Amino acid sequence: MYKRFFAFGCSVTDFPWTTWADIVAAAVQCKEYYNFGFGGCSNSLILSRVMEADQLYNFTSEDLVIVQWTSVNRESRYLNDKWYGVGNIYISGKYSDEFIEKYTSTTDFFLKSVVAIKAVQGLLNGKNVANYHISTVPITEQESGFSDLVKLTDPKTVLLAQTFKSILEKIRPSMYEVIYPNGWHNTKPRPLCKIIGKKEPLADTHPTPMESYNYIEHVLPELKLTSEIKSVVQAQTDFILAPGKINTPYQAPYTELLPMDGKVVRIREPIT
Amino acid sequence: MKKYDRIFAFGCSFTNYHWATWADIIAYSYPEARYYNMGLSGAGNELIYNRVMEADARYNFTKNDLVIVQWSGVMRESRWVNNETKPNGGWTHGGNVMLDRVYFDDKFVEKYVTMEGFHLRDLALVKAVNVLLDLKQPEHYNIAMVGIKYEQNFGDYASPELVKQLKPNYNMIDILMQKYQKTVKEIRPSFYDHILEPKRAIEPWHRPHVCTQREGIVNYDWHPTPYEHFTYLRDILPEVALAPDCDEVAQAEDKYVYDRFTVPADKIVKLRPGRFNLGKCTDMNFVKEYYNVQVKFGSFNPSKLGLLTFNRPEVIY
Repeated sequence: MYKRFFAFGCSVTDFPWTTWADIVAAAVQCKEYYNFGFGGCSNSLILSRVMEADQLYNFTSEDLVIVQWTSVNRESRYLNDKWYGVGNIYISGKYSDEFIEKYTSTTDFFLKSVVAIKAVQGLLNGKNVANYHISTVPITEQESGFSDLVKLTDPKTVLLAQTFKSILEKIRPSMYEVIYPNGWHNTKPRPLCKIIGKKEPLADTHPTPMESYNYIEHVLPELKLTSEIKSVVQAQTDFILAPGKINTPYQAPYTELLPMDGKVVRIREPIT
Repeated sequence: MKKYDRIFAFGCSFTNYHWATWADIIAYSYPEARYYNMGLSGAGNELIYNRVMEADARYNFTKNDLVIVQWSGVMRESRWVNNETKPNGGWTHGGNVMLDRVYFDDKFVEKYVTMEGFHLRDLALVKAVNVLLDLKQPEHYNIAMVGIKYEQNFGDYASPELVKQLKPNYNMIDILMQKYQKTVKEIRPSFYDHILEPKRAIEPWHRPHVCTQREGIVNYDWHPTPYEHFTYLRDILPEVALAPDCDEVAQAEDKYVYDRFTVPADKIVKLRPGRFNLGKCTDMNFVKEYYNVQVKFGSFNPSKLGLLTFNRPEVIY
């Protein structure tokens, strides 16, 4: 029995509908559940938030921490009093071509990601905190547009992957491998969502509640998921996948909450 | 004296420079230890943290190692790039982003830099490094070029006008410093606070000179000299015992540095009156020579040359 559960990651951790983190929180039923997921964030920002959370909450051996590492090619900056995360920098359209040419390389993003993972594992192991590591995509692969993943092959990255092998091995199989066997957009059915500024609804590639459930069941068998959780998650999934349904998930919670007795805290900005 | 299997030094140009630094003095004191100097001029704290983590992944720190991390200025940004500035790939390491015009420009600073964001980043990274070192338990210490909190100052610091443009949220920085108090306390007083600021207060300044490679512009060099490095270690890091002759060697090397890194007055043309700037060197061959010299601790003394058992510092990249 854990006293507190801390979840870190990107939008697949904190989303308007139920995520893997919410499912784990319902499964472990601890007194306090902290969700530090932040849409579009980078692995460096995840590191920063883990360190910050430890400063504030002082992780102990009675806590459970699960970190969902995100795809490597991301950049997060603190601007105008808030974190600025745009997802994959190469496809976000938020950074100029000049910025990308001058300041980015996949090696940089990969290096900073593996080092962040090592730092977080060091902190959690050093404090004897029960910790697990999951990911959206394999860390050694990058999202190439909206198609399949591409293996990072430049020599420095290959060398780094070898150097940090023992760190990367601690990450369970990724969501991409487990729940998107046919790629992001070819795994069906996908919920349709109304996007601000777009006329037509788009198929959302975030895991549905049931996909998240299946993922956790597959990669974290240590956590016992109950049939009660499964039935709520199935109902949520049916709700967002209903034929003709156009979802408008702009604010959490969009779906019915999972049964959770303890305190729930969602933290999006620095704790100052 | 205690024996170390390996000595790892991390930092910026205060760790790896044309002349001997604190890291070289420690390595000189422990000639049996394998010595890794991973200092990189202009490195920011993100780069330093990356190198510590990567060094541990490669070399696996143990209880028999000595690891010293010299933290640098907070307003630095380091990225591994692969473009015309680094055709074979490498870190950007040009110092303060507000002053570095090799890798960054005004537009970058205006759009992507906030002082509180850099503090948020660096405090987490300093903590991450100390968590690792506490876990692996090499003998370890944190020292610093400047205080981790960015203040109006000189050296790595930009002009008040540039800083003002950033509209820093000092309130948030104070809260962060408070929140990471335990981490900040791990860092010993900085070179600037302990050595350089007091010297700056007394004019005329007596410093070695530094020349810009392309134009030959001559400035005072505020990198600590070998004897200043020795003084710093003696006062700030007494736990690390130094070789008995370090004081004498450092003094002699200091003299050599001043001799070697002083541009004679007859080679300088005054450009304009300035506090930091001495003028322009008229002899570009002299300037070129500046960058061909590496003064290694103890090497000035011929009687010691044969005894030195330095391993060549190994760098990761």
